[in-house]
Amino acid sequence: MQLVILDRDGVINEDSDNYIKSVDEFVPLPGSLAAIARLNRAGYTVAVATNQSGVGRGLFDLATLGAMHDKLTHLLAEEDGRVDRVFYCPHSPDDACNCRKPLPGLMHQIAEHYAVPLTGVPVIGDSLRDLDAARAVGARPLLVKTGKGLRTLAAAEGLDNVPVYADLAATVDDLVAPS
Amino acid sequence: MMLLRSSLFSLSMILSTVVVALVLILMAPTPFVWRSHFARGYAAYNVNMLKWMCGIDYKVEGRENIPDSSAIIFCKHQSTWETYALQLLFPPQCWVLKRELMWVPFFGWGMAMLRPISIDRSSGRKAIKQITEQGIQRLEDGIWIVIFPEGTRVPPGVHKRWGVGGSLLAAKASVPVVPVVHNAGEFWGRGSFVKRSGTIHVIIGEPIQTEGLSASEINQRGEAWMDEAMARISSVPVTEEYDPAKHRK
Repeated sequence: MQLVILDRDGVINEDSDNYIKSVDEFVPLPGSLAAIARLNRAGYTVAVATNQSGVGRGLFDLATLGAMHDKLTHLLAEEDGRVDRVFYCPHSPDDACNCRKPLPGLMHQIAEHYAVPLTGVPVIGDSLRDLDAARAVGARPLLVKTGKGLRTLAAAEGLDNVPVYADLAATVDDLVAPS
Repeated sequence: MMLLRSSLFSLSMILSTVVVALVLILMAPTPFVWRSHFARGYAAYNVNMLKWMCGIDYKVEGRENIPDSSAIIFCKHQSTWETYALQLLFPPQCWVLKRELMWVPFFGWGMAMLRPISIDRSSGRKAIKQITEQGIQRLEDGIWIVIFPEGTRVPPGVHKRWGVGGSLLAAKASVPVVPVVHNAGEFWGRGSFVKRSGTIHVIIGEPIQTEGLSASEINQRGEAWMDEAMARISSVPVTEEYDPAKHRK
């Protein structure tokens, strides 16, 4: 199987420093849904790995998170696209979990779920923590400028020649292009 | 248009609930089976109205898995729909529900006429005792028991860890557990007044034989089956939390 792993906030939908706490705040970025649909058509299974510490902080609950993904599903269906599964870390930084990116817990979980090694699997994110989690399991980190992407670029730390794209659509252009 | 159709359905549902509740109260002196059959008619009415007014149909896989004698149904809970549909799919049954539900005008009064196992949620251990004692009694009377082990309606894609009340009863009574999944919440979800037309997919799983199993073993098997079956019929991706017990690396 061909797998691609996406971060959520700032890659698929608009990010906010105040967390995405409600279904109404979950707003897809322009072109991101069509990009996921193109990944599907090219034979990719799309998984999402996302830190959602807002759950651990009590800002919203699992039901609300599920309702956001319900919304995503129905918007995606209009483009004929599909996210296969959403893996999330509910913890806050103080919880000492090992799933909050940059830690690789979610990546291990994905590898186990699909029973595939993540070596070379594209991981698309907007923060250094996404890139680091990808590197920890030998996956292939890719950075988008949407969400916190420009800030990540400006900080210029730990980028190490990671390819940079304008947004998810541009990344997918590159991934599905015949090489 | 769907707003209008959904409004019509809600109106029809409310009216039928009021009438049926009043009739059920009048039927109080009659045998349980009569009341149950009457309630089944009400369920059929609403399932049909939903199909007719909102274009929500359903298909069922695994009817052959329904055992001949009374058992406990562990059903996914996403919508009001399954509380109707289960009455059409299975023999006369009762529900485990929180006491407060019976105070809801008409709806709750009608429910009270259908021998529910009502529990006081605030009293942990006592609630579990209520489930086991009343549950065994119902099963002995040949009545099936419906349990929503997630405790509450959950949105599509979400799995809530199962409570232990239902599986403790199953272990104690040594009757089979029949797991049931469906994706009704994608068409008629909690808190979504406007419905989506489409076909609900129901799967009735192979019964779990509970003899010799502990409550947590029953839950483990049931949840594993439910996760897998839901992934098959759900169009909404599963939102899965990292489980440190499962992924020690």
